[in-house]
Amino acid sequence: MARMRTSYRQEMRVLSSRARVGWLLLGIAALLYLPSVLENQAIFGYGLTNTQLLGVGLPQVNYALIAIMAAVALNLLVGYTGLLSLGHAAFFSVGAITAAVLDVQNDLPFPLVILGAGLAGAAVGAFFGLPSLRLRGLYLLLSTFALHFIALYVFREYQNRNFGFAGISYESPTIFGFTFDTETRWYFLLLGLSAVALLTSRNLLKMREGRSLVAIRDHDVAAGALGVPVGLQRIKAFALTSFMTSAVGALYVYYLGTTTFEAYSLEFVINYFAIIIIGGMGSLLGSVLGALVWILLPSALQTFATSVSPDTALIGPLLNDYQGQTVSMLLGLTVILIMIFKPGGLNSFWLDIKRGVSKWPYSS
Amino acid sequence: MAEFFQYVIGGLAIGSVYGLVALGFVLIFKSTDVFNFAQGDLLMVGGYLLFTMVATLSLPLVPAMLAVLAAGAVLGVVLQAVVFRSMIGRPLLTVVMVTIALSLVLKAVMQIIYGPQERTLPSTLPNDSIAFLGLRVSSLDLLVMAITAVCVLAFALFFRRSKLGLQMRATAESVEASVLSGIDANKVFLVAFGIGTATAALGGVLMGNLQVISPQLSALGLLAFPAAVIGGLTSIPGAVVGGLTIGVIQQLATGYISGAAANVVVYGVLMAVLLLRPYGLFGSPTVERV
Amino acid sequence: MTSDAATERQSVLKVSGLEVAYGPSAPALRGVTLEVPEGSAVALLGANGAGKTTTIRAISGLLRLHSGRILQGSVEFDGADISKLRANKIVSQGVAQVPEGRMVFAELTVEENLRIGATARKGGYSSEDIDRVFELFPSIASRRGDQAGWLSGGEQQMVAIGRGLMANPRLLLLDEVSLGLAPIITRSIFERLREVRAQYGTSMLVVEQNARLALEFCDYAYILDTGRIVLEGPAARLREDPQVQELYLGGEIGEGERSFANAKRYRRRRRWLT
Repeated sequence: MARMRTSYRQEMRVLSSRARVGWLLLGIAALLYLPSVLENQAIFGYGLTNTQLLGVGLPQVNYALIAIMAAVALNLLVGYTGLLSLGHAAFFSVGAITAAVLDVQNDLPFPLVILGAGLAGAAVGAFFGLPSLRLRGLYLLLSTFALHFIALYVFREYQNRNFGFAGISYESPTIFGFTFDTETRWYFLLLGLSAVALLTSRNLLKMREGRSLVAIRDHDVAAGALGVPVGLQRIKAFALTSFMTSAVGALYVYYLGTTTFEAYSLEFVINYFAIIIIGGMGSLLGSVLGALVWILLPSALQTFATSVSPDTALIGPLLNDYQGQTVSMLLGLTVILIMIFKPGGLNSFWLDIKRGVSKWPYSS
Repeated sequence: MAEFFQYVIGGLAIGSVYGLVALGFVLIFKSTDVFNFAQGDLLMVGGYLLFTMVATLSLPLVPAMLAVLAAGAVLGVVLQAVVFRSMIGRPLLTVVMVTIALSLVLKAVMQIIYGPQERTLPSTLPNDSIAFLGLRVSSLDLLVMAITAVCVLAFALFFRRSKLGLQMRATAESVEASVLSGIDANKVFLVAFGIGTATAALGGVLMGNLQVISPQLSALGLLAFPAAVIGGLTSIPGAVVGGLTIGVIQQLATGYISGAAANVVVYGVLMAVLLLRPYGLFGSPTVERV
Repeated sequence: MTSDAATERQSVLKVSGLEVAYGPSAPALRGVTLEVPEGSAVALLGANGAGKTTTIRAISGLLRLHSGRILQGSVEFDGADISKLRANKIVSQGVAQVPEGRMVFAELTVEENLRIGATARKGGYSSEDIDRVFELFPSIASRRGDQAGWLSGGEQQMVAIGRGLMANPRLLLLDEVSLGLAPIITRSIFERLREVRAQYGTSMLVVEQNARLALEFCDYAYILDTGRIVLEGPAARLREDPQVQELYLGGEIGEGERSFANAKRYRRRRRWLT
């Protein structure tokens, strides 16, 4: 079961073995069946309670899909290329502003808006990336830290001048007359886009472009000595990942229907870092796992809260009145524990399992 | 013109607080290589603890302030012993993430305990308007600046003259060489953290006298980072100078433009410093072996 | 504290069957056994990557700092196992290291560097101890108030050795003292080390790539190769050994065709664990 590749061609293939094709088909079937499971709260006719589903409904899954795409983008920048950037919220906000400008103010069609958001994001991202030509590590982090606040100010001014304090509202998007106004329709749209995002990222990483990014992360001077145009690749990494992030940001505000500048806080950025850390930095599977945890945690907490009365000593108020803060606290604690004990995150747990199984009975 | 000087004095006062927080931050960073992203939140924790001591526990102001300092030091020691001890030698990104997560936890815990509303101290340090060089200034501002100056002086003496201070300077340069020479690096780290967090708590205590105590304090505490960078991330006097600079810039920008714009101006300055002189006013470019 | 030559010298350092690995599974030492008798100087030679610095780190307790660990074997100082002690504790027991690359505290003054050296010294230090170091190394005496980073390589080496001596060690570990220094300065430093041995009877473990210098200075030598001791013996004997000459001393002149295959003989000598 070891992943031994015998040819370059095999390495390049999307599905490197027949078993994988089988798993893929199974996965697709499950994902197609999922909406009906969640809506009817029953699987193959067998009913499921809310608690068994951990309080997960289609909205949670849609949030998770959005989070997965955003987490993949962040992971590509931070995990794979090693560029410490706190600009995630800023890029999301670029998507929101672009959508507001192109759609709300100028009525452009949805696909163009998303594309426009991506391009705007890429431009801003390239700009965020310029300091990376001179700064590394900590100093790069600080420069993106500064840019975050500056970008937020721009958004705030834009919102206040054009929309007021209540926020910006977006209508449900339509593609060729087909309106995305139900959870199920959003599910399939987001599922398709997530698949594209994951596939593209995976292929990118297998190509020379992707490998050069990892080389830069591991040892930029050596990479440069080998002929990798380090500065250019860094800017490209910023541009590409912020293209993704802004496009997702636009999708996000369309899905929510409304947004305000307060949403794009430092805490927003920190949450996404928590996602990729818990899931595993530098791993696509990690992005998926981390996003799932991020969504499941609050909904699981919510269902647990209904069975605990608000008067119970400590847990009562924590679960009922301070849910948001409890979630944050648990996320933070989880990150700390993971960094201390298992820095590879959930992904490394998964790798351990795979390794153990493939080497059985000789697993050490 | 008088307005200008009012802003400057006010800026120096609040800047002293930033300087203190930045000082603690640089101390921790220099000695233990930990980039403590949660330093600003510790400012907020200090402010809230002071409120609890004074309003809820009815302690007199000055003993309460000292108690918060002690609590801050203990918190730092605990953090180092429990969390950061296992982080020694780990890459920078890992350590930054841990402190970012810590920041998240502190914010959440404070919100749970105190809620989002603002608190004011029932009584503060003397806040009279006195005449100073022909202007009307607040005695509180002057007091804050004086306290900061005393602290900075105490630190300087500690580092230059005391045995432990020498050990801390050595550890800041190279942990391996220090350990080789017989220094108990763990003890040094504990002290560094304890002092670092205590200064942030002190900053919170002083800030609580100057302004309302609310979750916003953590955002103010974040300004310690631009302050530290301007001073040079490894220079302790630089941190204080950076803090004063940031404080003055912030007050002037708030006065002449707006509060929201002030933030942008400050971070714009940070950007400029990073691009033009990343090692700050007092730091020096480091040469790394590749 | 010299012991009589007649009775068997007690070993101040005894390393037995030491196996060390870095990270999850990269072996660096595969069963190293060596001894440093009291008052003597022992050389540890070998090419780059042989494991010399790893051995020194294992003795000084610095492996953990470099993600290394002892898999098997023991390190005994004066009969007591020190392999589990923390590094600064080992210094207070009487083992001081002069590390590879000197590692002086560049921003501290020369005098402060020396003072730091005495941190773990039982009973503290006195100004006489500092004066003694300056007597030994007069060229840094005039620079006592200067920052150590501004000194030349040779002067920094003297500071590093002085710092080690300030700990009043029974055993001094010297890791590549000659690295990057002009030959004349290296000679002078080894002269000083001879004086230290004569005056204080300090035992020394000298790790060197400059085998000639080490074999002239030391009484006994071990040769390390990919983590194993492959040859050992009195320094005088090793100086004459043709294989050692071939591989480490530059060989004899006018030998005719030389190939590495011929030199591989020595690799077959295994070091059996005691």
